[in-house]
Amino acid sequence: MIKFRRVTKVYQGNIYALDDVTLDIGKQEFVFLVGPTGSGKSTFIKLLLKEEEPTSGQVYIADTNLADIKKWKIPYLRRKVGCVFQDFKLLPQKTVYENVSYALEVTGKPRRIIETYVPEVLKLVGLSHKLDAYPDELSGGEQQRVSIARAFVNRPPILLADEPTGNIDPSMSVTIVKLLERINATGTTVIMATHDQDIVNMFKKRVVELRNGRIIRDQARGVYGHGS
Amino acid sequence: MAVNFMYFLKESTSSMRRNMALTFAAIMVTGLSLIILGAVSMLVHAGNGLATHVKQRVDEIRVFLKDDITVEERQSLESFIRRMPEVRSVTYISKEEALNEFKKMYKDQAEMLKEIEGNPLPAEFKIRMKDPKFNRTVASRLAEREEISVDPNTGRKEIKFPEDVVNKVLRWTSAIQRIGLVVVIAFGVVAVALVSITIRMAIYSRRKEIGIMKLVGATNWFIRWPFMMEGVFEGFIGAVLGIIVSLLLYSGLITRLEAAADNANLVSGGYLALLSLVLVLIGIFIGSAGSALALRRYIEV
Repeated sequence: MIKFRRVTKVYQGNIYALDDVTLDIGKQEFVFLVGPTGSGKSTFIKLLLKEEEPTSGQVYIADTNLADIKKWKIPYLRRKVGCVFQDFKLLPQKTVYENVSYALEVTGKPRRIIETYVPEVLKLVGLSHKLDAYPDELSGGEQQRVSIARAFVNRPPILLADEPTGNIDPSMSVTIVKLLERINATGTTVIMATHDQDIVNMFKKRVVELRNGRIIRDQARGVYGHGS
Repeated sequence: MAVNFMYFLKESTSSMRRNMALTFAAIMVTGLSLIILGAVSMLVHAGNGLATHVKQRVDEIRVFLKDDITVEERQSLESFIRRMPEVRSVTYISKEEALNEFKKMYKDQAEMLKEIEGNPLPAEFKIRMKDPKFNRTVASRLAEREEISVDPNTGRKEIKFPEDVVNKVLRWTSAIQRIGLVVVIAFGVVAVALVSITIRMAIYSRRKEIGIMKLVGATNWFIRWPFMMEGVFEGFIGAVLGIIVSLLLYSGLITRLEAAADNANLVSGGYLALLSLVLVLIGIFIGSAGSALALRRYIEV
């Protein structure tokens, strides 16, 4: 599903965010991308969204080289790659329902589809009772579930989560990752960048560890670090 | 598409509410430029109409006489004119009468009158026709006569048609037209710039939302549409202002002018409709040009 071939990304000032990364992630995999801040996790995700271009090497999604995707087609790529962030990125003036339906509206889906999909996905994340609440009225965990609902409502084949538990208390974090696990079970590839050791150790998924832009470990059913 | 349209409309109107003062300014300047355009177009049109009307209505020509002709020659010319069936009446104005009239007309300008030596003014016949359409026929017959003076500049007989008055009106309207055009273009440019600024503000105040739209895969055009509509809407409202003021001008000024000109129809309903249409199109153009200018620079993937 996702292939990185000798990908290097150098930012201005000769900073190597990714250094010769080669990696395959299969369909329906669940991968934890771990490593300290500045290890290249965010760059990895930005490359998949084509927010950044690799300095050298190729990134493939479903056998398409992202370098071949024309600028005006980027939106169509992003519809296939759902995205969840540490800071939720919800619109404060829209309700929970509207925040999710928004993702369908902007892709031009007919009203009938929006009216079926949105309640469905909000039920999946367990927020059916808060459709009319505004983001400010929700806890961090609930906000992140709205954001996951929004990322998933398009049924993308890939879901990226960049530190989704970063702003959430530990008990809620487990719920969030369990939700991602359920989404993964529907056939969606999930990549979660995190440095939350407890979570990684608890779920025993494939772990790819980055340090200074290089992959230093790729382990099926792994744990966070060597020591733990 | 119906869903989309409502979505765009909702986005545009809520954005305009947020930037009310600036939106108001943009609409006012767009409106002002279209008001000027409307007023100038109508005045020029009415002026041209008036000129044509006068040309058709004025049934008087004037012929100027040589200074050295005898009384007999003058009387023979007069009876020659009177015999023409097209002529209704003839009035003779002697050199002295002409000078007195001239002095009366310019009595405020004593300096200029002092400059006059002797009497440079010619004697003339004012000839009224039974119908304005005879002006040319009569004039061409008179052009043969020796008694009539020759214009040293053109080498032609000095016969004045009402066109000469009309040409004065036309000179005025073309001056209004030229000045008006310059003012309209200047205001138009300012209007485009102002619309562009309002759209830029709207983009800025919604940059977070735009970021999220891109994230969930909205196409650039989808993101641009509400802003485009906002600009077009501002231009449209400006056009409506222009039309309203033009119509007020019509009922307040042009109708009076028409009444003064024997109820001639100077500005027709068809012209008003066409003018309104043009104002709306130009308003929409100003709005979309302003938006496009802002969007080109501020929304990129």
